Amino acid sequence: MFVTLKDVRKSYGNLEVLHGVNLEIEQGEFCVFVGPSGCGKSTLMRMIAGLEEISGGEIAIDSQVVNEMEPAERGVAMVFQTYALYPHMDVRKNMAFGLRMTGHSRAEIDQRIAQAASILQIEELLDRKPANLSGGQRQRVAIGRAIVRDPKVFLFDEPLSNLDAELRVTMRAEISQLHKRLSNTMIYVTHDQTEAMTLADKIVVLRDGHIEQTGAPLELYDDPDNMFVAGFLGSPRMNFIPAVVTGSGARLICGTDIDLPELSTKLTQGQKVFVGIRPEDMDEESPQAQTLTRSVIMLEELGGTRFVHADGAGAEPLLVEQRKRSAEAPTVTARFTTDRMRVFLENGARVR
Amino acid sequence: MKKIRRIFGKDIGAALFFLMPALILFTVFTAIPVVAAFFISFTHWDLFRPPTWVGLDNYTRLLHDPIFGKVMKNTAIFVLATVPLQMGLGLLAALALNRGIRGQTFFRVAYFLPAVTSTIAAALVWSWLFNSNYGLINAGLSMIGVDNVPKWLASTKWAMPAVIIVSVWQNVGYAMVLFLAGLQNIRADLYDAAALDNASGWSRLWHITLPMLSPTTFFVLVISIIGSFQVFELVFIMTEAGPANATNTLVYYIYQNGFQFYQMGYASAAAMILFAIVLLITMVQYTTQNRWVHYDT
Amino acid sequence: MIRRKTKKSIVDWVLFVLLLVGALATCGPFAWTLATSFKPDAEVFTYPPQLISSNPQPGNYVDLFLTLPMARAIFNSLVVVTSITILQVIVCSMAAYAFSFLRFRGREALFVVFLMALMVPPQVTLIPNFIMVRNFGWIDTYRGLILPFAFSSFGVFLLRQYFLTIASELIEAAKLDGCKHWKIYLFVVLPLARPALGALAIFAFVSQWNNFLWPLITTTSPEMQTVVVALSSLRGQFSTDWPLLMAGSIVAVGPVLIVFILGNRSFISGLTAGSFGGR
Repeated sequence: MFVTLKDVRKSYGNLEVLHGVNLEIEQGEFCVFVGPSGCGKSTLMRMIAGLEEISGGEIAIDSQVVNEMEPAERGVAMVFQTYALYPHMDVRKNMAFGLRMTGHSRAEIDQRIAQAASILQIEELLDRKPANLSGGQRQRVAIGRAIVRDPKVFLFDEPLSNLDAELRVTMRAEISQLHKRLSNTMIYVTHDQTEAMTLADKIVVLRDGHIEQTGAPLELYDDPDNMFVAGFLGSPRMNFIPAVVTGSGARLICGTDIDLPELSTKLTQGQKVFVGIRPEDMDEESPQAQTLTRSVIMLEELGGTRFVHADGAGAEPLLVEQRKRSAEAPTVTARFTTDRMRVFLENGARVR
Repeated sequence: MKKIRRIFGKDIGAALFFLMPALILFTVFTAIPVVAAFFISFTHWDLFRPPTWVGLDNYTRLLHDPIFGKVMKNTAIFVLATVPLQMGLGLLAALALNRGIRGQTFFRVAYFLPAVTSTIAAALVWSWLFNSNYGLINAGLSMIGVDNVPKWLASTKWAMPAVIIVSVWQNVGYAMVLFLAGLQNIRADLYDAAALDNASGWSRLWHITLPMLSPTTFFVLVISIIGSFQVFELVFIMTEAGPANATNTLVYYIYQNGFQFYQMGYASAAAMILFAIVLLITMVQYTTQNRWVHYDT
Repeated sequence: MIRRKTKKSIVDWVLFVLLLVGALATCGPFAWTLATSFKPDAEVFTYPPQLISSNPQPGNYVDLFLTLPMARAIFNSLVVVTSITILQVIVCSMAAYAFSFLRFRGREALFVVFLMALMVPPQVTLIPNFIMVRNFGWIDTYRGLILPFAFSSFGVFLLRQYFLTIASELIEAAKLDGCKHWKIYLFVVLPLARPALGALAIFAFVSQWNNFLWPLITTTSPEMQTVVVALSSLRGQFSTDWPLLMAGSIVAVGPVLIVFILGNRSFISGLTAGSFGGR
């Protein structure tokens, strides 16, 4: 394993914010830490970078424990959310600074800058000061500054959150291509599940200083360990319908009975559960589909698809995605198959 | 080393390096002297013989010293006159300039020039202006028909007002510049809101400008008072505390006793009184500031 | 609406005239000083006083520099004040760096101690400092004039305020770039803090040029006097030679006024930054 975290903890005084994180990242892997704000994802990255002290546990990079190492000795490079370009230096000096500080020769510095600049297509910006660059250009320079150091691990701390929506999509694609091209290990922090899904080889979902689940994007999407992961990944988010277990199935909050053939053995009669179904799985044309009819509250027509908001019957409104156009109707009938249903206990744990 | 870092924080080594020059200079020229001044004030010391411990003798002497009584009264009059004058005039000038009157930079520099001028030079110039026979001021006064022109620096009645005038002249620009910066820090949307509320110019001044300016006012008040208590150079050049101690003030008295009469203990005791007054005023102001200072959150 | 506008412009005109009168009061004495400094002695004691001399004489300035030790005093002041300014910028910026970017135990407490020193009137430490400097044998030396002022709590306070506006990511980026603290200080923080360093330098220069009491008591020979002290001793020697004294005042004030007028923007911003930090 290339980057290893063993029972890593962080506390400020008596307040523990990371409660024993265990994680392994392979060489060349693109690993995304995702979670709501305050979950500890940035702190964890900063600990890997060496910008925060490690209160407990062990971090190793390339099979070397780095706990006591200075940030620069760890072989990591970081792209900051605010880019953190030195305002008093032009782009070339910004990129050269780290190499100069670590004693590289002039020739090598020039060569590496030229190479990075051509990868990122920023050759014509080299003599400008950061103040004279656009947001996207600063972003590129910040990445360039990381590239020239040829680090073992790239760290990205919410690098796209200061860009406008359109640019964010473009840069996301560029970062993805960059990873394919450089094939360095990359760790990327974001609160945006779309970025996580599109970029990652491996997603690490964090909440309240814990890892909730680790895995490939589709693994997490299709097979979440708990309600939090199921709800966090995917937009619009999964419907959670409160239900009570009956014989071989469950009675939903609206009174409709559904079958839960395989899971019923793991549940007891009368137990309260949540049935999770993604909006896009609610309009199946399958003969096995079960149905659920609710009255429509609101319709969001997006052209290619539409979202029908239906009465929640006392719980949250139900969201049904319909990809086929049909006439507006006062009710909507959701059709879903058993294999797309996920059942969760009241405490959020997945029943498998 | 690891243990030291754990106890004193991870950057303790670098901190020692960066703070070393400041710590040494601060200890030698500020910390130790403050403590020493306190102890010297309990001694008789003329610098030629070793000091002798006399307990509270210097302080009881100060209490019964009629000149010291006069010094304290003069200092109080000086502070009470200069602080409101320089703050009031400074505020008026700042309010006027803040209306967007042309030539703001010129006025700012013009009003601030006296503040960067050496007080010694200023005192010399004003001694000449106040010269009772050939000075410009008395010439002007008799031109407008004043018969009995004051003898200013030679008069027990007019010497103090003359010193006060020069002090206000020197410090008005400082107050103005601070007030102006404070005014420009007030958010414009407050005035927009007030304009929508149909507030008149006066009520905007009263209900927005002055309350929002109060942190600046507080700061200017604190430093003006502390600065006024330390008046020395004007007295030194203009009157040498005279005539008949009419302009003798606390710091001049400290200087006189320490460096003219070589009574280091007695001068130190007077300096401790000055210290106590400054501390007391600062504390009173900080504890009462909640009642009238509004910080924009 | 139109009436309101005219009313405002009338008020502005009245205020403008009042401000001009005020400016005359603050700047008039400078003009009068300059005028007097060129007057022949006899002309000073005429009544009514003439504003501009009919027969201006540069003789007073010649006397100041040729027969009186004013040139030497200016040299002394330049040496002393420049040294103090450079030292203050170095010492205060180093301390401010520690207070802004280093994590160590007792940081806040030590900073409070430095802040409290701002409240100690300089006259309190005057006597012990004098005795100490005298015992060191530093009377009539540059050391004795410079070192007691090489550190300033105000300077630390001012620079820290500014340093705290520097994004912490920049410091972190420099750490990742392989900088030790002294390199971050030298290559990142100091270049970024140039406006604040300039403000402190101008402030230190002006206030030290005008400093009087300390050089007065720690210099005994005319060779070591600073300009301001030399000016005050002129007063003792030539108490009624007003043109000479006015010429001396012009010489003493001139350098500071030049520094101030050239750098008034950063000087004033430094001063006001100090005040708003008090929040």
